[in-house]
Amino acid sequence: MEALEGLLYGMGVLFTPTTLLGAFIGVLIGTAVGVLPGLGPVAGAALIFPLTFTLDPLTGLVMIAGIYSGAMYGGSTASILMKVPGDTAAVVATFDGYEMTRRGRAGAALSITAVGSFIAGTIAVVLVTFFSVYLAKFGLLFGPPEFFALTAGSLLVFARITGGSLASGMFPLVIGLMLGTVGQEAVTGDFRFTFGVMELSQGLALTPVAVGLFGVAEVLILTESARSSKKVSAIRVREMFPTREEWSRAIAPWGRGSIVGFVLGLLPGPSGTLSTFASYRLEKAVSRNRHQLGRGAVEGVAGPEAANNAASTSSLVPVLSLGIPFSATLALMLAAMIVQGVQPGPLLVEERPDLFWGIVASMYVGNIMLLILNLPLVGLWVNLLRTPQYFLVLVILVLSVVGAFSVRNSMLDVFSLLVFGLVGYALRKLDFSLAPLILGLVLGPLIESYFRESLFLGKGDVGVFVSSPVAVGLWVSVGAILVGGFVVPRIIRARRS
Amino acid sequence: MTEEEAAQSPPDEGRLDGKRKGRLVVGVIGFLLSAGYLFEAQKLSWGTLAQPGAAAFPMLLGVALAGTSMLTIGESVRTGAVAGAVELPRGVDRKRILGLVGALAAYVVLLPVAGYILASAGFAIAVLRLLSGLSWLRTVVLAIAVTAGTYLLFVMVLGVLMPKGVLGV
Repeated sequence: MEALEGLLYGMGVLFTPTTLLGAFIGVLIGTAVGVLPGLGPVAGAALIFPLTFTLDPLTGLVMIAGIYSGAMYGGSTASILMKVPGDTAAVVATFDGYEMTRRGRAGAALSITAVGSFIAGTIAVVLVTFFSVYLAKFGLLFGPPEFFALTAGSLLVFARITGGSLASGMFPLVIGLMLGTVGQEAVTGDFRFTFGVMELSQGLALTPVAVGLFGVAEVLILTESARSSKKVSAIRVREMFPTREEWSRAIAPWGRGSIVGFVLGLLPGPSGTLSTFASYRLEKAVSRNRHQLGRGAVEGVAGPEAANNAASTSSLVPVLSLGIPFSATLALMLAAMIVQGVQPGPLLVEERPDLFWGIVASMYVGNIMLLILNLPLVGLWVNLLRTPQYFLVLVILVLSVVGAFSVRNSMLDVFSLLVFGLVGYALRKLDFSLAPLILGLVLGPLIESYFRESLFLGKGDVGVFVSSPVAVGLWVSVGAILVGGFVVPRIIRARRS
Repeated sequence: MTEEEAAQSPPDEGRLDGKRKGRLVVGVIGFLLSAGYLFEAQKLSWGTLAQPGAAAFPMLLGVALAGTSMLTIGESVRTGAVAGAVELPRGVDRKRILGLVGALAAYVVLLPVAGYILASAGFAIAVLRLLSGLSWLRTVVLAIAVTAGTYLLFVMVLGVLMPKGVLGV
């Protein structure tokens, strides 16, 4: 199926009432968790995760994709209106977005964000449509050793880029991989690390771990200081329209941001954060009004917000074409596929074109829904921002407990929620990065199966891991990125001094 | 030293500040965990190199955890890669967060005993008393509303089977 034909086919499968409703609920929840502090996209998607098992695979996956893209939108709204970024990807939106709000241009900033995100999302969907098919064809050349290199290698790169110091990313990654080994082993049937607890034979459930690490821990951090709900002034509909000058200043940054975001979304790493900062730097370097950046310049909102949305769309490419997620939320999407019995990887486009093209099409339709949700309904989100903190904390914690229990009606999962909440709080206080832990937990079982299959294929010869040019190329790239991370900053420092 | 020089100079590598101490503890816990994990892993079937058993991958991970734990310890003791004070809440802020953790722990423990409705209402009252300045009446009304709302949505509409507890509610 050719790319354009595929996209049309995707639209066809998407346009059923249930799936469209799923997409709508996804972007709605996504925007809410993005706007509100305390429950980010990972915890939001993790709470929905058990619900997706009861739906058909496409509706469930489209819902998670909606949460992912909706949260990006919502995060920017809170940044622009209140200077409270929901996550690091939304930090850049505070630079010029909040300054615009202070100057009474909040409505214009939100419109420029929403329209820019829509345009970037559209450009990215078109590129994704073509890119995914070719990447999936390339992926067909892969056997277990190449997949082992790709999965394990990209996890290492991800942990290195995300973590700050080397141990900050690698330590949580290994813990996540180890947690993934708990339960009954698929090939031998051995019970591993279950200590006689029958409920552990199915392994640790993803929801309590993700909600604990990202939801409960965040709520604890939120509660550290008693904040009264911030004052947010209402925005009238006529204030939503940017001036002609503001529109014209936004166009070029939208285009540049879309390209930067699309490219960074394809690579391992926190693409939302990287793309917004990279786009901001680019605007500082090339924009005609660069001297105004940081003081409420339209370019500082338009570029990064377009980049953010393009990156969230293009980061679907590695998930759909190769089965490799580069963010914790997309790892949940991959996990949802596995639970639904869908094998992620390059064969997905051939075996389940409905899912592949349906999800791609949903990103497009989701963008239109987000445009409607974010422009005329901005008043709703402003009201949501006025929710008192005590109410938010209470509702998030009760939802977390219900969500953890509902996975398999087990109190063990509720206990793990509490434990991982405390672990997440401690690790965050000590500057460890938590996303690699979730990626390790989801991808661990896949990496183990590639590891075993490779050795089986090589009849026990460990040389099988570097037996093909693709595998060698992948490991060399991984090595270069990891070593480069040490060497390049030292060279720069030496030159400066 | 001027402020600029102070900002550019590397952190004092001899002094173990809050974050470095904390990460040292995490590294040591990780190392002990790797020992326990490897001990449990070696009891599993080893298989052959061509057909690895259930122990093979965990053995590699156990060694990797030992390695990354050593790295964490090394980073905290030898370098100032991650340094600074751990920003922990103090005074009333600390009391509030400890109270919240205590309430959550009690909620989790009491859930199977008291059942969803009673445990959630109790938890809601505790959280609202801790975090809000609402009157008792408003606290109780809001607690009942949150409990009833979530019960209606999750138990009645979505069919989640929450624990009923000894009283059967």
